[in-house]
Amino acid sequence: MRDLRIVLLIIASLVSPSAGAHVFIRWTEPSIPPAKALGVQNLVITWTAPDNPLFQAAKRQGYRVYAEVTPAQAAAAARASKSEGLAGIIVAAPGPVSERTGAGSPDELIKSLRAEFPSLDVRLLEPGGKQPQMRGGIVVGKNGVLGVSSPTQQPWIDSNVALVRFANVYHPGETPLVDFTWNLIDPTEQRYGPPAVDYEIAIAEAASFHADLILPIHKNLQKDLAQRNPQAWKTWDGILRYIRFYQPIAVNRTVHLLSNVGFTTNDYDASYEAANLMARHNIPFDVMMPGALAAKRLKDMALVVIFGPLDTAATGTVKNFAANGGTAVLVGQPEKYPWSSLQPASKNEDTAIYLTGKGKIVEIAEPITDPEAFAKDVWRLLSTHQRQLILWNALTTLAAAYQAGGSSVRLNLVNYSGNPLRVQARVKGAYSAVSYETPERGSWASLKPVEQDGFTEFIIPKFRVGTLVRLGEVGSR
Amino acid sequence: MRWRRIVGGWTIPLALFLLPATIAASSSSQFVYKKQYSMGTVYEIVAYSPSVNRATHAIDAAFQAIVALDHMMSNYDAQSDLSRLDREAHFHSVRVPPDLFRVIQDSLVYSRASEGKYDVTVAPLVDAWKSAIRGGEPPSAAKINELRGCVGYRKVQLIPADRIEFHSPCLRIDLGSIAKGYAVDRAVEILRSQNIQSALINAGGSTLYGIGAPPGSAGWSIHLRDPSGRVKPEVILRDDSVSTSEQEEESLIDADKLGHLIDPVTGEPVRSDFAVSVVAKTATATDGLSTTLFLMGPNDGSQLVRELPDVAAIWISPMGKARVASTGPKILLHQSQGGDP
Repeated sequence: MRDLRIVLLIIASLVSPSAGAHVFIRWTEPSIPPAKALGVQNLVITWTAPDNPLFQAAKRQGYRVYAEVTPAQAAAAARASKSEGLAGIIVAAPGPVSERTGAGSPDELIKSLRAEFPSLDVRLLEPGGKQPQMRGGIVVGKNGVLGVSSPTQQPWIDSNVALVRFANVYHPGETPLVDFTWNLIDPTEQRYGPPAVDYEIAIAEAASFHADLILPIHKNLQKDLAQRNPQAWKTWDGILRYIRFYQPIAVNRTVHLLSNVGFTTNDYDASYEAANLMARHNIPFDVMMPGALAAKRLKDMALVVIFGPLDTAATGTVKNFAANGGTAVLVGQPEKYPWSSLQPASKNEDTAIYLTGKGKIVEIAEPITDPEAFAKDVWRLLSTHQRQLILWNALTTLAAAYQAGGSSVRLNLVNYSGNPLRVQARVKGAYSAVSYETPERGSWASLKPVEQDGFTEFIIPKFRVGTLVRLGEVGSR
Repeated sequence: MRWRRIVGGWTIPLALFLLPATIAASSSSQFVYKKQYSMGTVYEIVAYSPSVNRATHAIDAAFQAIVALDHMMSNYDAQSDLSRLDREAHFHSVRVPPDLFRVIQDSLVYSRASEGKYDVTVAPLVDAWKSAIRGGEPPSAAKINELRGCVGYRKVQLIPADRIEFHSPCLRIDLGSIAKGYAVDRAVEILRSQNIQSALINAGGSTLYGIGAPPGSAGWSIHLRDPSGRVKPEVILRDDSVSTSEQEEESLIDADKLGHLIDPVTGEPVRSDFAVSVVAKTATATDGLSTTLFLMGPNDGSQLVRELPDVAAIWISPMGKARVASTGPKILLHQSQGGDP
């Protein structure tokens, strides 16, 4: 009996009934338009107490209703789920993603709830999500508007890409679920809500980097939708077009990220910004648990970034990795390693570079205080042939390439500026057929690929927020 | 390893500062904030107006003008007027739009003033060094010499009212050091023409212009780039502009990383730890002058500033040494340490 329970628990923890849901709509206002009119199924309502009339109202309007709960509320909400008509609960736990495993953790809570309530969809909400956006430098504060001069800055991008990559490894088998609160400067937007493009960027980001999203609908937009305001419904139609466009990739996430850069850390907080900036510079990295630093995992990698000390086995793995041509970047590790006795090929105040065999080991002694410079260094450490994806005229664009069926590749791009761009891309591999689609186009269009030195280059003539590109052989899909 | 970013996203948790209702309540004016990606950076405008609609329309019109100037002055877009000029103007005059004529005309003022230290014709050298700046091999001395022959502002002939000719077979123009400033000035013209009397325009942090003053203030407070964190310079903009130049961010692993600004005289990247900020009446002036004064350094640069009306500049080293030169505008130092560099 106990064995059966364990098997059920494992199955329940791996199978999520909402797989492919992609976008959940967060609703807070008392009036709710019908699900058929809104065109979405999953509505998230905060759990305040049992008998919340909003749950029943949403259910009557045809939604699958999810209650957003704290860990302390989770058991009560799950027990009341039948009477409340809930399709699922979403557990929002505080604390960094790295602290959510182990006994008594939210992960354990999720597993036990899934085992006890197998028909209830139980999801974990990743903490720390932020509104995906291109940001400027003007600060509007209580003392007024403050400008800060600097050399010309690349647009700063707030993204959730690193958060999703970490969540993938800390919660394997789960599609990360992220949310955010609006971070609006303009008073009119604060009062009436952000423009549709801000919603579209959030939808495109989540789908492109393989996360599910709780989309917060501004309260005024909720009210106007419920009151059948035509302007609100026009805005919603634009948002819905993005939800529908990205739905197919939300239900087909069996593809895996094309990456030849590894990232492992024993200190989530100390390394997060480095990973965030690597994501911002389109360095496609795979996060690995520290214990997973094995030769097999590093086999196809060109570079690995390691935060935290190496044990004996990992030291050997890193040494062999570098000897075979890899580049290992060790951050903040005061330990002496076998290569430390070698004469460094170069050394400065913070960094020593050791050439070992065909590769190299870069030791950065101090914690990373300038993650932007660090990310750019990682990029420079990759040779031109090791850079699997290069974008030009794309300072506001983040992208991820995924290996799809056979030899085909899917490339998802998100333009956080929302201003139309013409982007040039170079992807590793030879592909004779390249096509792209955007929510605005609504159909695939062929692009002209140019193959050179094992890479394929092409130009996406125009996209505003999101585009999907597929690369393959002529005749493939 | 130094903490370098002031404006970088991870150092300013913007949301924590957001209390705009407090500001709006201090006046009958409300502010409108918008941003637009153009010329490889983020343009932002904050405008106060009794009418939100008026401010919104004015900002939209200003952004449209900036985007149009980007299409005109981009050297990444083969269809731009600048690209056409760079392709066709060798020993043959080419008609250009008035804005392009004017910005090139303005750039030549700073080339003459700096005796060629500042030169928008440096594009062939910039392109040759691009790969090396990203970690590749530097161009050979022979190649640099050859390209120096292409470069020279004196080889650009302006034929009023709207024609330009290059007296070199390989000269090309790169307006990256001045186009943003020019675009800010155009935005200022448009905002003023629509009766906006209080606005701050920010072009990627490197060039800002303050129209009038925000409600209840003497002007727009701008904290200037300070690589030392000790000098804490500030300017209060009121119908004037400030621009900042500095070498691109350092590398953690390559102490000899090349700077991104090329000295047209030597043909090589300039290495300087100084950040320089310049205050003047127009953004075109501050944008052009900040690059000029960065290339000239504090000694020669201070002399140039003394020859120009209504200009102030400050050079700050990572060790906190600061040097100020001014013929009018005030640069406030909140914690001055160290003397002349």
